[in-house]
Amino acid sequence: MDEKWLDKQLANYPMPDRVKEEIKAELMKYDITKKKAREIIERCYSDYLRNLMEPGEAAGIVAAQSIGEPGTQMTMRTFHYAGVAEINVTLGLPRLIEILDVRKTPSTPIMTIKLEGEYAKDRKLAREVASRIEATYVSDIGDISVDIYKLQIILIPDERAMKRKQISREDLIKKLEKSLKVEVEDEGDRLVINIKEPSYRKLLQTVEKMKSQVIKGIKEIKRVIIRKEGDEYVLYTEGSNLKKVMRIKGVDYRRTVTNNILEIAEVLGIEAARNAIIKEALDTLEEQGLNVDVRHIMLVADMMTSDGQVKQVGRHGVAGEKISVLSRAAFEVTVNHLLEAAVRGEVDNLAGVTENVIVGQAIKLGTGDVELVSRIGVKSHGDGS
Amino acid sequence: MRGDELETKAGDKNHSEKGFPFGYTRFEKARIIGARSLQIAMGAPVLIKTSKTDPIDIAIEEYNKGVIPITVRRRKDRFVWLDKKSLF
Repeated sequence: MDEKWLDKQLANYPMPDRVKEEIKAELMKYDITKKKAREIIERCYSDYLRNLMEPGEAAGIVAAQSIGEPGTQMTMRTFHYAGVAEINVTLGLPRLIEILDVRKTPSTPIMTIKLEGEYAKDRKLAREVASRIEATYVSDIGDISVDIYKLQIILIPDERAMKRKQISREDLIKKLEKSLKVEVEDEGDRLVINIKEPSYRKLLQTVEKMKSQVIKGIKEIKRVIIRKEGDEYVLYTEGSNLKKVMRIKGVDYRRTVTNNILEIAEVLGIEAARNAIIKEALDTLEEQGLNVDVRHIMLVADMMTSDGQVKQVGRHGVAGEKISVLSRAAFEVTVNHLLEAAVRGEVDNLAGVTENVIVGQAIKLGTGDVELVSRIGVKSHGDGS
Repeated sequence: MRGDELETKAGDKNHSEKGFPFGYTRFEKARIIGARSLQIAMGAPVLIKTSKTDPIDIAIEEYNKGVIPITVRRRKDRFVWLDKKSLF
């Protein structure tokens, strides 16, 4: 197939570039006549037209119903994700609600961390990265005991655990001294912290603080699981902190994702958040065996992210920030909205659907949006379709 | 009302360069036929020779022949109306 000729042919058609590229790639594979190729393009074009939405069509309502109906078939509560070993993931309806409500943190934050180069191939190196990410507490690497009489905290470090987590004794002492503002004495098999003030309360406070002290790793990440996927090792985490994980050596930040949409919006920007919403919502629906066209979800995601920050679908977002008073009042907390609008002297332009239904006019959708004019004296040709 | 008025060119015979819009949308078609059949039902002269008696059927036939003296006004500020293929 002649590439230049094909490009010229396709240039005549008002189709998206992606569709054109796909047609081109497919046609280049075969050796066919120009007439046949033209016919194929024409067929693709008519197919494309059939998939186009006409002006005036209620895209939002179609999207709402297309997501809502499968939603009724979703399981009310599902946890446990069979695919990822032992990690609990909120799925089904609760997860979908979570995505659309844009909760600050999802009930089960999860990260999928891909590794770079050597780290992805070698299990040892992968574990090394995992230990850099997973939060390690003092109690994980030793036994803490308290000597009330001498006002001492005694930490007996577990050498094997420390080696596995790759923490040296010096690091541990330094970290403890810095975070607790105490002096640590190394007595060979044990570390002793002397409380200078003769205060029992101070002693207990220090112990509590010590127990919750993260020695290594990222505070938010409670657990890391290493799995082999294909020929590379992938880390799954319970808990999420995209910003910090992306900085860790060995992590391929380009392919590392979290299921916390707000975090993505903060770290990677609004477009990434839009894609995350689409992906998460689609995955949740698909996991339940429901097939919803992406474009419906894309519309929702676009509405949620159109003003530069992620806003939820409910009262404090898309529905609550509408310009029209009547539209807002029709949704929730009717009296408050009407009262406030009256106080402020708001004007309603009756541009939307809800407003026009309320005042009893034809809505600006479908046949209601058509403006007829007479065509007297014009030589006529119908489109004859 | 503001906004440029765009008259549709019904029936785009020139297929070498395809552009938007293409004829009437199904909503526009419904409104045109609806309005015309109302006229016929109320006694307006029928513009074609037909054996049909139902005003809607007559209106549909008139529409297909392209003789209905009604068209639509499309406003630029109403919806995104792409009439340049370069928009893609």
